[in-house]
Amino acid sequence: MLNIIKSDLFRLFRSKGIYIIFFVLLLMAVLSAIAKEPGNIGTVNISAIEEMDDISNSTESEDENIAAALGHLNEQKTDEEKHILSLEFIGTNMNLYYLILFVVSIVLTADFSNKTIKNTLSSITSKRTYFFGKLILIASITLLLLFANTLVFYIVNLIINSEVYHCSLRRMLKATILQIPIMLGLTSLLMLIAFFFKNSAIYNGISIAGIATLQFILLIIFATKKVHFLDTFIKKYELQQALYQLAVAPETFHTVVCTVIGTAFTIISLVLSYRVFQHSEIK
Amino acid sequence: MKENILVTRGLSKKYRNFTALESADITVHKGDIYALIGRNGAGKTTLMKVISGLTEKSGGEFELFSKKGSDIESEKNRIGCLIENPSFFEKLTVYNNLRYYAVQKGITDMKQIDEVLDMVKLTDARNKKFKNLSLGMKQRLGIAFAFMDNPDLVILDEPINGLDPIGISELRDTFSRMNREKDITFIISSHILSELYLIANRFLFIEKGKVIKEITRSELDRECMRCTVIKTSNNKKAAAMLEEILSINDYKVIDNSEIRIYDDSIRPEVINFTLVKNGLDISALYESGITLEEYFKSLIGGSDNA
Repeated sequence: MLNIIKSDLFRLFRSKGIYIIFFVLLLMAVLSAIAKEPGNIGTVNISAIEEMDDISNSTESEDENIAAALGHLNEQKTDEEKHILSLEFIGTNMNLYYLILFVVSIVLTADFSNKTIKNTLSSITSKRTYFFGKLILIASITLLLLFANTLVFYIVNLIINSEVYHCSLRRMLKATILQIPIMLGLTSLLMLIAFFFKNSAIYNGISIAGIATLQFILLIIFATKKVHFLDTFIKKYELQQALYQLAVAPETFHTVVCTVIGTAFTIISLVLSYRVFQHSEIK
Repeated sequence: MKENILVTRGLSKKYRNFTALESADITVHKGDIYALIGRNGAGKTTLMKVISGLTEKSGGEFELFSKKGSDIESEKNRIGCLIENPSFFEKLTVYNNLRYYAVQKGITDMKQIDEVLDMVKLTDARNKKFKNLSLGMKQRLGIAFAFMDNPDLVILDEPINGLDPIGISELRDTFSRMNREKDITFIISSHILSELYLIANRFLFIEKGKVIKEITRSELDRECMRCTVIKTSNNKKAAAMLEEILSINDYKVIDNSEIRIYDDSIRPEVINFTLVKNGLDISALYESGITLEEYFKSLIGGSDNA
């Protein structure tokens, strides 16, 4: 198993992909620190929708509503808000999904697409060892990315913004740790897609379009406000929202539910991945 | 008695309603160069994939290095495989591709990579990316991979695809040398029968997923050698006449209606005259001698008629 991990690390550091991933990580931290705003990739902040909704429900004219909405989003942050920029940045860790997606692609789906997996399984090791080797490596890189993201932003933010937009590293790490179950759940789901389809193009299509479609559906359900229970659930547990709350304003019950959902997702996805892989034909 | 490297009993593989391999019983001994002969889609690659663990068997069982089931996994590092097309990482160099697998195999002495590259004449291309190699060079790299870590069994599926005649000859010599010097057992499939004939000592003919015949090289030579074929409805009487009247002992009863005589000291017309004179009903008598291709065709014809 260790040899599988070592060989993949050998290959990873000879490809551009891993360097691109860490460059993007650094770029996100620098841009967020300069702009003093955490950015989202492909997701919409439900809180912002709610605020927009409140404004549009007022009795003012349409033009006034738009002006008020834009003004509201751009207004100066309070001192307290300034201090939570670090936590807000961690709150947007859904961005890392796209980097983890890339990691799974380099480590796992590349093996299927190049058909190099058949060399490993025919004359080196068993499917079981291969599976757990890849799992440990991908999970380790996910955790590395998660904590590297936090540490890089801590350092970059300290350099660019000094102490103003800052909170303690201990608080940032705590926020990061709370997000681990969800991030591992997402990673396991990506591995399931990779093992199920065994094809880079299909994997990329489903993992990118899939998450965008899911977010789109959740936002439509939330925006229409037809089912109260779903509205409440989405507001708290939609991926972006859940990660944001875990980082910025963690509550015990919310944290427990997120941990249980993330862990359950991880276990179910991995069990399914293993079963699919064990019975799959290697072409 | 020779050690068995591979023994299969009733080994089968089905893909939904299609039977790719049906109840195959084969035995490969240590030191064999075992040739798999069959048309495209006959089941050669399926057999190799089942043995190497790339696909699950649907029925039957097999022993590899005298181990069964999950115990085989521990013996995987004794196998070198090239199944279907050689597959490597496009953007890695020849050397780094092999190094990737060397790390997976736990090889610490990287000189082994240079040795196998030298063996397949790829030393000059060691820094070329896989995507820039010619078809023949890719094939050589696949063979180099199969020989890494001194395997006891090498499974090669159509290994000479894309190679030029000199390359084929060199590899043939390499396979023979490795077999002779390191006692490596080979299972090789190829559609170029004449090439297989030059190196293999045992042959498995396979058609439509069924094993038609497993034969040694000396048996195959005998089957293909020049002979006089007699077709008769009473082969027992014919055999008795050959021995008692014509003193011919070098013959073989093929089936109920066919006898092949390998003794060429007596002319066919003499044999015909003698047998007919003694009341034997002969439907045909002719001289025969076939190539491996013709033999293969005759086997497939037999299979089709079955």
